[in-house]
Amino acid sequence: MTVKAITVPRWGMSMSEGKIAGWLVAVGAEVAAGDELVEIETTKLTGVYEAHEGGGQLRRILAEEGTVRPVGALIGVIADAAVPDAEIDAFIASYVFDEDEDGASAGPKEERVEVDGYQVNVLRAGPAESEELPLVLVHGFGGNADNWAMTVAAMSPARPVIAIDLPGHGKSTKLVSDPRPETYAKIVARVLKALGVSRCHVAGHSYGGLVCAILAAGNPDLVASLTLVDPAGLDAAIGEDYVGRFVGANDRRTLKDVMGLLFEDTRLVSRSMVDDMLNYRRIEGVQATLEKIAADLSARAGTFGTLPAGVAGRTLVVWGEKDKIFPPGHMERIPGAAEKHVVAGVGHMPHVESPDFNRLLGDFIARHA
Amino acid sequence: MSRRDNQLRQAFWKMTAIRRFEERVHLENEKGSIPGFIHLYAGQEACAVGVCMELGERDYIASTHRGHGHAIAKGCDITAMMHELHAKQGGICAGKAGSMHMADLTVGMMGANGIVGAGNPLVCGAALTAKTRKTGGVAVSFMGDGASNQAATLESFNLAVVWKLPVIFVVEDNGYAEATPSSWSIGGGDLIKRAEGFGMPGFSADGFDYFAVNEAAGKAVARARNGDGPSLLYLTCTRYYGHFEGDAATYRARGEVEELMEKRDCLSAFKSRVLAGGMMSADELAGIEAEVADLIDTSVRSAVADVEPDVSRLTTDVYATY
Amino acid sequence: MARKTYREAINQALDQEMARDDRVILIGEDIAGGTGASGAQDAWGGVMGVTKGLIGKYGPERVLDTPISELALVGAGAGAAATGLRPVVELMFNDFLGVCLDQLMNQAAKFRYMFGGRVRAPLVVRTQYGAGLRAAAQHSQTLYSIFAHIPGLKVAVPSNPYDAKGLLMSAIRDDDPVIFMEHKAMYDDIGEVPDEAYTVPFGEGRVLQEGKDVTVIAIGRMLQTAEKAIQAARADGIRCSLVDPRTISPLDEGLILEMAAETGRVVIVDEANPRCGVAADIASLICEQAFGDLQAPVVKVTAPHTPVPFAPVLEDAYLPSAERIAAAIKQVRAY
Repeated sequence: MTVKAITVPRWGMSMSEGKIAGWLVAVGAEVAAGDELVEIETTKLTGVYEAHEGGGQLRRILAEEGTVRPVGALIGVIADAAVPDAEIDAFIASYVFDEDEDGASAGPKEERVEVDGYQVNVLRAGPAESEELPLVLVHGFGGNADNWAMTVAAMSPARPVIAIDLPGHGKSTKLVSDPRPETYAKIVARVLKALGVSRCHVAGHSYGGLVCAILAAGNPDLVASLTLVDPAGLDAAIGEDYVGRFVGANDRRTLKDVMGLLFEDTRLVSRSMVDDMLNYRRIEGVQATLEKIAADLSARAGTFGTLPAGVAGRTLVVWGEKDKIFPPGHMERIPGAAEKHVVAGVGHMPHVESPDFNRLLGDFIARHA
Repeated sequence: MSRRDNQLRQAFWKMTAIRRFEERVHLENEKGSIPGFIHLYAGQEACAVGVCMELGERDYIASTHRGHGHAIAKGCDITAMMHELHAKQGGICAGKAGSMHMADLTVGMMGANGIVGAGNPLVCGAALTAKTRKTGGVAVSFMGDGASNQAATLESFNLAVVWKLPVIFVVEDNGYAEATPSSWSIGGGDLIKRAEGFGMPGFSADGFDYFAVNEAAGKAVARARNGDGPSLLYLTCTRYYGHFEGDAATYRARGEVEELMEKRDCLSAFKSRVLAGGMMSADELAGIEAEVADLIDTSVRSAVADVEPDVSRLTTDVYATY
Repeated sequence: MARKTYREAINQALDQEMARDDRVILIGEDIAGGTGASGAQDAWGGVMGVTKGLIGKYGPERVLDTPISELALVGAGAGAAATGLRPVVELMFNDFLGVCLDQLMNQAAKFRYMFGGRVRAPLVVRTQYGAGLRAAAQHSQTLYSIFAHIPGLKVAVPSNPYDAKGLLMSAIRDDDPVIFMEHKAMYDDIGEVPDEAYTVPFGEGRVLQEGKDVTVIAIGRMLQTAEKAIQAARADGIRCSLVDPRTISPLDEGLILEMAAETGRVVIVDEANPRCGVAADIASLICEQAFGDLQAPVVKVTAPHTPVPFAPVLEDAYLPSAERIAAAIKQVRAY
């Protein structure tokens, strides 16, 4: 069998290097698909790199705990026990690592799609040609496609993944004249059409969940399965006045406190995360767009209607048990949902805070292939 | 009343107001009711007013440490000015400027200035604004003979010429830069030639004669408004008081001031001329004098009655106080 | 995201603000270059090429070359600012401050206060500072302390292309006079800079890294040297925080005090001369307001109190080095 490289993954577009926080397997251990291999720390998060496929043993560790290596760098080698050491040595010696400053070949690529006069930024990862349906990911209010970094990394070996920056967010056009969930659903539909996607799995978080629900309801043939992660709009109540407070937070301290409401473990709100959010908030057009979204959502939350039975029948609802913004009780508003999971011990963003999320999502998608 | 008659009334009113204002400030300062450094303009009224009568709302002026005359000529509120000198909260700058920094940009007065020559670059800026925004305005810099040797002045002459700015540089040569006579300190002795050396024309006029000043000013202002660039207006005049209040002015010859007051006083000259020419009546003149006297009296009473700025104002109007 | 140089980031800020507000004009020596000459217009676009292309886009009425007359041109900027324009004036080297200080110190800085709050002077003065290019004593100084000492002036010292664009856009929109300090050796530095317009507020510093042992505060280009020193100190097991004040005035005192209190050990790095400088100012602030949290004396790493020498070997010794900074870090850690 072949010798396989373990390289520093790219989690999110702005990651350029990672620090080895700790190896979770020892040299000589057998490696199965999905095994957690190494914990890697970036400025934004600490994540676990899992084996994409099974077979072979961990033969070499090339970056010890505490070392920092750029994205794409070789940090370990997996090979069958029978492969001689000399061959492993040769593999390592001849491993070509292209330290291209614009982005290693590993990881998602960005594309711009123009829709309705907006430049929409899209992260695409995974195999260019695939039998599997693509997975489309839509972030929430004030977020961006990078919120899905761990999901993109986990899902993209198996299928194409498309994470969209909604206009007003990320790297898409910032000023949106009439930002309502219906408008966004239309934009997402048009983006997918422009990308040649006729059928896909869709997952949306919070406000993005509301957008995806509207998208699915209006385009049932497009959506093979729908996953709603702590979706917004089901109920009039918005906990902690989150939306209003988020829009009003313009300095580091206030923003850090507000963003802490998103997680059960507030330590996840790193300085770097707050800085990035501040920088985003200060781009022209962002404040105006967020204020409009907030006003619209606050006015109409609870009035968006119900998911059609057909769509609900292939909908997964995932909810963080400790969500301070929309409590899990809101799930009752989607009675026909095929599956519902409350993830214990996490807050509003289980896709970021829970190590089990991607398995939940992957299993559900597999059942609705 | 004809426009010309109205202009004469205004001119006399302003010159009288400046004279009476300065005389009163001299008295109040002697009494101790006015703190700080004071530089009085009395004697030079024809210069400030002769020029400012050619200016309107969209025009700017900058002045010197001897700024009360220019301020009044450009339309600053006299009562507010008196309050300012008395360091009261109703002052034209809320008591934060004093005599040397009095300003009101709403009437185009960019400020008296404690730095000799500093108004010249500022006026180039105001002229640049007028030119860029196409307001049709002009900008006038009043300076003394002393300022004519400052780098700020000479650089501004050049910049105004190179950028072809609508500026009028007005030199009021009252014979002395502080205690040093202009005849000694101006190299080459001829500021018109100096202006021409920089590439702009100079117009001379007798600064004791309102009509001469006004005519020369008219030419310089018309040139600027026409887009033909800057010019220098050189006016000879005298100041009746010392450089500053408290200056015994022993650098002046004995009787020099008294003789000028008797023979060349610009107010007397104006009155004689308008009366002789039938342009204004004795009654009109007396009426204006009485009105002005009243106003000055009232302004002092009002200033004395006003309160000082609250101490909390120490740290306002500035972005950070640490 | 787009990667741009420090130079390009500044150019883009000027371009976007000039497009947004027709009151924004540029004034300076050779900011286009070639005005009145028979050769090319926009021959230089500024001595370091920062303003290149702008006269082509906005015309000579909004991009004005000047004779060598800092006193007049800075003063004209002040006068124009007081009368309705929003000029961005270039003072080619901060070392030329001496020939125009009055118009900044006594005029522009004081209009708002002196005139009872009734006048604003939205003037920006862009100027180069700093040593490292062998430009010798009269073209290499770091003089932001002088500006910071004058009430009424704001002072920004961006350390990277992202902050350069955001701070300059904020400066142009600010109604107070701002001195915008650009390190002459950083113009080719590259960083992530959004193409969109955005602002970075004044009075807000930034934390570049966090470490529990020592807090390093560095200004402008010294952040890069400090980063190297911090990396070296890591080998000795010392973990450092790194703070960039971004604006010297207003100063983010809250952040500085918070980060100083976290470790109790502070090193301040400034390439200016040591007497009466910003480093001493920050040290005084910490001693006065965070004394109880200090575990060691606050140490400054600055240039010596000399003019900047020409010979490369001497200039390299003049500038704070990573070695000197690392030694200071070790010193406060061991106290």
